[in-house]
Amino acid sequence: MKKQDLSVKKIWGAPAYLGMITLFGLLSALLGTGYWYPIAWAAMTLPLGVIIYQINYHQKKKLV
Amino acid sequence: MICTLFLLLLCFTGLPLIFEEEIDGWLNPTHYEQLPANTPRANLDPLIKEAHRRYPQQVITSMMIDDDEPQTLIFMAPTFKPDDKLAHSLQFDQRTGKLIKDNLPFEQQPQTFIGLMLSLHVDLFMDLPGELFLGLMGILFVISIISGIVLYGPFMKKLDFGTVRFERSRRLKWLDLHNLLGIATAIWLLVVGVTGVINEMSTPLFGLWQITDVKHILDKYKGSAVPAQNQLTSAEAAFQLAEKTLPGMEVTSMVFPGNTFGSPYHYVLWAKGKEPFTSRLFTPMLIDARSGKLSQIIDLPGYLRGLEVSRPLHFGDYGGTPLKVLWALFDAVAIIVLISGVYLWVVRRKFYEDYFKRIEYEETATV
Repeated sequence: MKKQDLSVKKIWGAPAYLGMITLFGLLSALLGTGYWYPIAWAAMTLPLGVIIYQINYHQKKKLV
Repeated sequence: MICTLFLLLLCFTGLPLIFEEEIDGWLNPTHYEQLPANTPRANLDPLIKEAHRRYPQQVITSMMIDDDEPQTLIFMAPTFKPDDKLAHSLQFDQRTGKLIKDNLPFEQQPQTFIGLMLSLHVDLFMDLPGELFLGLMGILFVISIISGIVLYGPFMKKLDFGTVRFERSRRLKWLDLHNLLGIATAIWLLVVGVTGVINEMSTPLFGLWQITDVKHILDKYKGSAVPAQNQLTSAEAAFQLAEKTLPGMEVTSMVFPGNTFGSPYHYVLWAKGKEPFTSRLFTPMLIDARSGKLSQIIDLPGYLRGLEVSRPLHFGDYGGTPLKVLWALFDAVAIIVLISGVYLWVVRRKFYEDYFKRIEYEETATV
């Protein structure tokens, strides 16, 4: 039981965080103004940043 | 497979549409007179008079008092038929009231780049059937995202998040990339997909509203004839009454009596809020076109409110230029996810075909 929970967390943890951050970014620019804009931009940049980071990281690992 | 082609079409045509305003302003710029920012709006009535003077045989179907650019557009046509081939617009400077441009009928205008992208993205040049078809494609898009999310679980059982096996076969590398790109952008893909489907439903939703709520309201006024255009009360007075009745809102369009999308007896004035979010929410108001008196402020039903909120969430035009750039980047990721999805599907099919061929071969060889 506990082992299963761990694997669920391991598989879905990062996607869930990214999803929530994306949703937060989408809504903060819609409902807020002023400083909420840069907050939204930062939040929405995060998933793209994670993609770039992971690709870079694994490409380098291959070269080593 | 075929439907992936349509999804790619949607992603590719959507890309320039994110920057619709910028591209259109750049390709077809309007040069406005330089006037101080607080120059008041010109009276609307002389504009209407000028429109009638130029086209005495035609009717004014509606007016748009732009809140974005200092322009007022008057839409005219020989008849109120919604698909009148001669429907055209006159562009006035909102502050001076001077005519800027007498535009050709929409049907005779040369196809613009943005217009072409919009047709390919929204209705494939087929109006409602095209909208419904692409709406169906949108539903398939949403279903494929959900099935992708469901499949992500079993694929990632033995892998850490974000693993890309560059050192392994091309298929595994692209499988990992497809998974990483897809799961990291899943929520954006879902939001844009669902709101896209809702936007494609706008014609039926407004139609539903017309035959229910609007019909119910207009039944009270049944029997009176559509007033001739020279009998109409002052549009300027109606405009001012509307802005006075709804403080904090601005009127951006006025639908003239007789228009299919309006009332036979009223000016329908559409007002919207001034804050970024409330500016997406419209409130229509009926003003008696004979007496100039306010008849009714209409509350839009929930499904039209949903449609209104869906627009910005699909277009990405609500958070400044950086948000538009992010929208374009997410769209580019979506294109990669779609193409790699097709690639993986083809490769896997080939894998099984080869597998079965080999079994067949081995069986016949042992006999």
